[in-house]
Amino acid sequence: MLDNQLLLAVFATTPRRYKAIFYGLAGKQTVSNLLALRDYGLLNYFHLYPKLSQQEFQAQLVSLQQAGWLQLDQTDATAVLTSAGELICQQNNLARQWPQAYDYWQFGDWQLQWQRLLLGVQVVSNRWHQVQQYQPLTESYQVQRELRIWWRYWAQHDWQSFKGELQTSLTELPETAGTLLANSFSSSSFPGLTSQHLAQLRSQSLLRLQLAQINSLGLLLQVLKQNPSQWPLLNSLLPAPKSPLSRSAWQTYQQVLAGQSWSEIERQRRIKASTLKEHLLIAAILMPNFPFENATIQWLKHEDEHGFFANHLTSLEKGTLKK
Amino acid sequence: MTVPLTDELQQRFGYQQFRPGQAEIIAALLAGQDAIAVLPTGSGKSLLYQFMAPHLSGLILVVSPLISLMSDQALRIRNAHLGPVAVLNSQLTPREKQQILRQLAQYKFLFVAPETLQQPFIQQAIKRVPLALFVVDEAHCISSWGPDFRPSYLLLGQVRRQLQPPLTLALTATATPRVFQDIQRELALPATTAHYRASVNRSNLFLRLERITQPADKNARLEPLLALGVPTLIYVATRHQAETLTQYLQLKTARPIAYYHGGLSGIERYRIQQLFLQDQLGIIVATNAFGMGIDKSNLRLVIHYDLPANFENYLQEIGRAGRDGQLALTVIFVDELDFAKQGQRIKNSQLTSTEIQNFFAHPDDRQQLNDGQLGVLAAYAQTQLPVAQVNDILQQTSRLRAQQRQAFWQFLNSKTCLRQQLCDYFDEQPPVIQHDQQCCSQSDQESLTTLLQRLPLVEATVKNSSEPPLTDLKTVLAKLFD
Ligand SMILES: [Zn+2]
Repeated sequence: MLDNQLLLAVFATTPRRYKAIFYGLAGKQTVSNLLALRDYGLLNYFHLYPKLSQQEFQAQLVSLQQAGWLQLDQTDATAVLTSAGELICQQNNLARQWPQAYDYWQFGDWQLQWQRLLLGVQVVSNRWHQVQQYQPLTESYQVQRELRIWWRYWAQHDWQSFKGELQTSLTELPETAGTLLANSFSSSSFPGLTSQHLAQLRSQSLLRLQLAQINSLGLLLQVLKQNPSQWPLLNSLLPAPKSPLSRSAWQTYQQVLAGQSWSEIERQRRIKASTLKEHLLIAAILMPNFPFENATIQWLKHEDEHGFFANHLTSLEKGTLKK
Repeated sequence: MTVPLTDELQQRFGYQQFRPGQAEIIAALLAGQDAIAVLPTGSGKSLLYQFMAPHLSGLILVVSPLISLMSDQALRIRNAHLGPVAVLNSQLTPREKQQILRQLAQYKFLFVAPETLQQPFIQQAIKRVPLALFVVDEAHCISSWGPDFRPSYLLLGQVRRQLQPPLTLALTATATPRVFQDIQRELALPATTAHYRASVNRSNLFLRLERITQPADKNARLEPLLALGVPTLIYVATRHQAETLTQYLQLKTARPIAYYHGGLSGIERYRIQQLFLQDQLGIIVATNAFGMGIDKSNLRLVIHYDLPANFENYLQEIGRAGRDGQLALTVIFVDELDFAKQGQRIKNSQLTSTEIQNFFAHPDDRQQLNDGQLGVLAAYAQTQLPVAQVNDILQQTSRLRAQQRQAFWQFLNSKTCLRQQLCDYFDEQPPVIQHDQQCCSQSDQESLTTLLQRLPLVEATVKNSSEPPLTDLKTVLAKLFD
């Protein structure tokens, strides 16, 4: 359930397209959603809430409007913060409640990472205490299978170093984040706390607790990725995606980087030209150091100077220069 | 028989004795007979097919309705080293499915959802390996008389004809005589099918009706019940109710408490179960999502704060109490208002013939149906039964449900022995109950407080002080790894 005040933090005093925000939180990847999120500074919250229902989201917007905090324009499908809404945001520091440390494009689906971390701790701890029969914390087939592979790979390893890695990495986090993660762990020797109970102890709603957990997970991943060789077990337990791009988009992007011409790419890929261009726009949004000056990119831009591709590319290029 | 079955049971499973019914069913299967077993939850239904594994050459195919049940059973088999096991469900990618199917001959056990089993390529793959035993778990789902009726189960008869297993075993925990007949008929089991039907009577459960006449009654009655300090499960009707009642009780009791429903994450549900099993949580407020696969032996008190969905659910839910054989108390709040509200909900979920026909003609038109109704229709659409037949089934089930609801309400308002009535309703050959002080009671005969004073409920070592605070990082790591 969404906690309605929280949602104010993704709006501003200038109009924002609420549908793009909804689809972004739910993780629907289209060029126009990503562009909107990028403009709003919400890109890292992509896919934060894959189970969000549109009905619920709409209902929340309406209730925020009724509270006088948000103004909706149904024809434009935009929303803008009222001054009362802006005040609420500032007073309650709402933006800080969102998991600013977790970047989807860098770390992937937080639900997967969360399950990997908790299952990894459970498996190692139970093995340490020689508990063989237990139910895994997560039913996810994918995560269980990854864990088995991970376990086999490190089978000959000294598992005491897993504790060492957890200890050193968690100590590098702010204390509240480290404690929160630690109390979220569970195994047969340490039952841990239910989310209901954790939320109560921190006097916050379940949703805010969850966002704080995601944020702490993001902080941990930042530490781990900064120096992978220091934490080999944890880094292979929580692998980051190789690229924010899908495999197909990655391939298109690589072909451009390799200097292939547009006609060559089209011939080899046998995908609709519009899809290929979408790949490149997404790359321009997500990849740092996107080569705007690349010959193929320039050629595409001039081929249809006022088209969708050229327009968006130009605005992205300007946005990058501003930074 | 060269080795008596009990010897094998001791050697392979470490149990001293069979539970009632297990030996009879196993003997029948060993003699080549199909069988239907109606055994209460927690009485070792899965042991029946696990036991058969070394006696049969070929695959043991188990149809099961829930992903969590399948993975739980598969895990037990894996942990007990009973043979290679695979699970086919909708979570797998097509490639993973193909991989399992290609190596099917290597497995001893295959768990599969009924919907998955309908896919022709899966049936073909199964036909290519020798099939030894076809197990239908939760077989009551096949009967429109049963509360958990699933359209996809209706096609299992057809699947059975296709696969022609040499042996079939149907398992269920609750089956009235009507449901039992439906299982036999729908699976087209021969007249020689063996069966064992345990009585639903559990002599260590005290059955209590608690009449509610005004809204404040429910919470007032909870107070002395929770003061007993024994492991307690409170059933409510909705997720929202579970959360609000928990919030309320947190103010009223220092005992650790949590709510449990299908909307919680898998990890949270797992953790609550674990804490409850370890007596670190004393009270759980749950919807009917709590149950399947959870076996807490020392549950002493089950309270139905709201009306259960039906008679069968009531029976199953009170059956979670007192698995250790010690006295346990079950209390149900009987409130006319609840009954009326439930009637309204059922009315809202009913489907008219026109709506059914429209759906099959234009599946994309939501009409003005809610998600529940659309779900039911989608499940039927998947079976590819003709629309007229679907209509008949749906109209018939809604009539049946109404009758069953009346029967349950009658039970809740009766003045005679409740246990006798339960047996009369569910048992094929109901025993004659000798009603006594430890049997059942109704609200107008003895007050709840008097009852609680005289019932010798065994105290458990439940942690009754309030919950622990946050643990610091160093201590957590020490507990996990030292
Ligand atoms: Zn009685």
